[in-house]
Amino acid sequence: MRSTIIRGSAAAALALLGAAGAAAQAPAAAGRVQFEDYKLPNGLRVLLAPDPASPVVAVDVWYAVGSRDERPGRTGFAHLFEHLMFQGSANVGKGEHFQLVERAGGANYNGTTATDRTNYYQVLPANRLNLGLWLEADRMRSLAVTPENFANQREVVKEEKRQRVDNAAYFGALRAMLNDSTYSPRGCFGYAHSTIGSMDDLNAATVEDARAFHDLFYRPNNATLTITGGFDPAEAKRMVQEYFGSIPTGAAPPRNSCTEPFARLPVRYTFNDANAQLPAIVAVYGLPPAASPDMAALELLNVVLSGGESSRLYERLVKRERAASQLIPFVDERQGPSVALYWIVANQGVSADRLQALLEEEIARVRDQGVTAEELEKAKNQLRASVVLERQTALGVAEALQTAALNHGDPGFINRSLDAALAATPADLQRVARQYYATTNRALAVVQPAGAAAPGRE
Amino acid sequence: MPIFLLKLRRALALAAGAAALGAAPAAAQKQPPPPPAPARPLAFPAFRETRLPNGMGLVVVENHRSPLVSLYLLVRSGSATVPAAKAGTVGLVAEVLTKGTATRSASQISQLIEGSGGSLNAFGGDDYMGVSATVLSDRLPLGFELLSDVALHPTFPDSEVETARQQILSQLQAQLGEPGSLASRRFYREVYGPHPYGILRTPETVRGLTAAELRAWHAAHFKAGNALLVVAGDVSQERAEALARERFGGWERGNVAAPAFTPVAARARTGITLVHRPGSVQSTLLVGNPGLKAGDPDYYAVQVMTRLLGGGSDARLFQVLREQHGWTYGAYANADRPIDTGVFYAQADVRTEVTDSALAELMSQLRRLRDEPVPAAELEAAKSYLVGSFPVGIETPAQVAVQVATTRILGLPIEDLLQYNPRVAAVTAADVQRVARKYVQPDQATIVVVGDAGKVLTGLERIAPVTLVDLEGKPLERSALVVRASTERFDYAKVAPATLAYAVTFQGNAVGSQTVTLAKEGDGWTRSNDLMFGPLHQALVTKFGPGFTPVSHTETVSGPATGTASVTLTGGRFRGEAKLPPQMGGEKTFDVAAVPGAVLEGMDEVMLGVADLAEGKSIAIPQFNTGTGSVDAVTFRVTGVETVTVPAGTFPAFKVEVTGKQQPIVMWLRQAAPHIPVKYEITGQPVVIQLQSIQ
Repeated sequence: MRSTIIRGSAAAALALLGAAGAAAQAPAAAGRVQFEDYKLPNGLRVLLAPDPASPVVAVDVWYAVGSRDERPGRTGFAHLFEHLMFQGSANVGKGEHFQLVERAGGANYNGTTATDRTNYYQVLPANRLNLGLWLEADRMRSLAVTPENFANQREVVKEEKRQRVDNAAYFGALRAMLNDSTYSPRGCFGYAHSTIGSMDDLNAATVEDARAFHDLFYRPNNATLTITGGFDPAEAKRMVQEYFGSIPTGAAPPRNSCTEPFARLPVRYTFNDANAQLPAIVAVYGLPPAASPDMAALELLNVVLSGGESSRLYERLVKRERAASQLIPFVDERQGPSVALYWIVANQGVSADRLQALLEEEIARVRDQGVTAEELEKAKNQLRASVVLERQTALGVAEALQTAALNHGDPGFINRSLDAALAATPADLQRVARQYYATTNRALAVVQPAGAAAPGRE
Repeated sequence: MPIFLLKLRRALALAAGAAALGAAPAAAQKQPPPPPAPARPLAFPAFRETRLPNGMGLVVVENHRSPLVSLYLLVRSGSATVPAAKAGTVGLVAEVLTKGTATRSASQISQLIEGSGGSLNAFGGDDYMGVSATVLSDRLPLGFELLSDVALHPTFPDSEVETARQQILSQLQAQLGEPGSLASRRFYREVYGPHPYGILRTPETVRGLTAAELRAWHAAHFKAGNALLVVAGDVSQERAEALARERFGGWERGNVAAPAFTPVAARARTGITLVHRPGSVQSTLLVGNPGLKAGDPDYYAVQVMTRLLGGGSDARLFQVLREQHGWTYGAYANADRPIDTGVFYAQADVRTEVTDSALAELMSQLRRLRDEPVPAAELEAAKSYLVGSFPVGIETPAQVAVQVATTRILGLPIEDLLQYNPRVAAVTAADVQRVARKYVQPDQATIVVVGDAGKVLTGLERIAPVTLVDLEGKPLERSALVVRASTERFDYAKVAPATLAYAVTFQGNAVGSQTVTLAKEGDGWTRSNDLMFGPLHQALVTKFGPGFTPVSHTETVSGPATGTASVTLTGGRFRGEAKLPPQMGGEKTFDVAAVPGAVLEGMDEVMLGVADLAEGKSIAIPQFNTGTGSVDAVTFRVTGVETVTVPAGTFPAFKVEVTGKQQPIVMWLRQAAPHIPVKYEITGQPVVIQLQSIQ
């Protein structure tokens, strides 16, 4: 019997885990990031976090623009720009960015678009910091937004949409559940549409629209540059001034509002998916913004529910009931209202209804009975470990600094990020479970392999 | 609907863009990027290798930057030790190894490791399997205890075996929907034949495995003399050795035999296995042959070769197949280096209609690598990437541990890893050509294509002999690919003369016009479709007779691209030839059987005009395509009724989605009979065609 096992081993487990107090007193210095934070006169925010022992550097630029800045009829722009940014600037030819970075030994580079920001990064050997900075400055200053580039990349984006959404199982449902199926379009349009945009909007867009978007959002005063890894700060500052100093500033960009994000919850959908072999459910709960005082308890709760094989949902759905073949949780912490998503794929012969019933039982148990002290300790240890793991690489540190700056307005939050979590109590977790993990605060999608059911919203 | 638009997209986009929107601004003088600063000498992180008295290898990588320790325990036995009937043993062992020991249940183990903020995973491959644990350094004793417990005392409980079995079966079922998995499974089976590396688990073999067999495999292979432990991170050499001795010192040495490998030869001639995946919008191509094994000094030259051939966007296959031709989202090449013979392979996912062109081009790139020495610039770019990116692969102690562990488990000297950079830097163009001739065998290649055989078979047969199979790998008859018409009736008597004029826009700008004329000729009809798109002119003339019997179709292209095509129906076959620009299908001779109900281009719209349309109807009209040279299954689905406003007026119209042509199209057909097209949109292109006038 499960409860007996837990009781019987609790003492031994706690002994091995260390007493409850030890985890809470974990030295804060472990993983502490030393950094410098300053602004150029043109508004570019610069964060420098050197690590002399590192053989690499990460150059990571975040523009505070994402899909949440798009308006109806013009979706997909932020993502389209992520592509355009690699199509050349005054001193960099079309496609040359990739070449220059790779030939310098940059194996890890990319740009990604999210709801709240677009990032561009490259990890280079330490002696090529100058190349990374030069490239980022050139495209910040002089990106080539030409009719040809615009038309070409639009086609690439549309092909990408066809490949990713149309060809991969479950992706259509997952994408929808992260935006327009969960968020209310009227109350929070910025989050209530997919980052990749709609085909119609992309087709209707003109290069003038693209230039206007660029002029508004792709400015140094809307950007943060982070440099981490093995570099000399004085030398880095000199290069930053040389490459970025003369880029003209811009006006403060407008921001969309998100007043009623979850007005449509609760809601249930059915998706037919020709690529899916097995049924699945996707459950999404509405959460507060990343900077909310409830977020630490929610992160811990999510670990208890779905963090690893000893989590509530895994133990019950995958191991005990053998109902699920996969359980993939994803908490999307945003600058605005966030979401916690649980993607659960059935085992052969199991229905989506069964997955839903089991999910609801386990969530209800946490709401009604809370979590144990042992579970809470475990969750705290997992969060602590994930922070340590993240900070092991130059890029990990860079992204953590950027996230702290964007979501909390203060990169220094990187060194305080565990404080609230380590001080949380079981009562905190039960409280946020009752407040946020209510069925009335949930969007649920049932994904059926093609032909199994009538699609739509119920 | 003129087919050319679907093939000329890039060229036309540029032509129309330049014509309609003005020339691009003149480029100013470009500044070059800053040159590299002096490189720091790369110091490989320090590590120490010892061996316990019982034969277990121990490597310690001491690094105190982060309060984390990673533990890797590997045994030099993998799925290559397992006979075909038991394929899946090692994967199942890996799934269940951490799910129960003599003193702990699966739940207790996961609670303990996860409770400490750590992770514990088992994994398996062809040559080795292992267990890894990562723990915060203040939990190191727990990490060692759990790692040794699952490695030395697993019990493989029946219930856990069943859970894992179900998960693996579900994964195998999911793979049936993934063309990449289908391709690689088939590829490995064909390249290796009976060799252990070609043995893959199937639902049948996985269902037949028992817990007793898992225990037996574990007992036979998990022995100290067959094992290597790597400890990396925030721990001193002394402490690591002490903990290793404490937890693994009593482990039995054992005497594990290496698996027996047979030589793997390239096949006598190139052959294609075509896995039919009906309706596939893309084809997955996988081409390759046997490669090198661990210890082969050619490894470094092969690394440079695969990098410049297909290592990423800065490589030949990507540049040619994607950037130049627009056929694929990505094309790559690689070679692995297992203990016994590995493979060289090149792969790409390409649009269905260019499957044969892309494969032919890929093969010619392979030949080029053997026939021509690579230019210095490409050689330097490839080497520069490999050498420059080496530090990123050893940024964390865990990464160092994996690199050292892999080198050792493959039986390689440690210099193999430590001297990677200088050895790569020393590779010459002659070296690359030499290893290409040895390890790239385009004339003895195994080629696997997963795609819609109905569309690609004919083209592929011109490249190499094709074996046709279904998704499960069973032989498939060519007759199973035959395209069939639906039973819809088209009332020939209702066809009426007409002249329709259309306006063509690109990105909302007027770029041309289209005139469609339908005129009686004896007891047959001639349909002419004249399209002007910017400077390009395309004229299509189709003739058909009573009962919509196809007679002939000609195509003339003039302007920036020129060409002609013609096809007639003779003796039940579509015969003719095309001399079209490459983007429109190139040069071809046609001679294919006309299936019952198959028509020529342009007839479908006349037939739909006199059909009994209704929402929800799906009509199949097979038609001959001068671009593919085959009879394609084209389907028209009436998805709804909408009111459409075009220059000619406002019309209630059937919205029809068309699939099976080069690209999906949406048409709006006037609801009133005859159902003339009032508007077209090409899915994926900013092209809209609208009716301007009717006569």
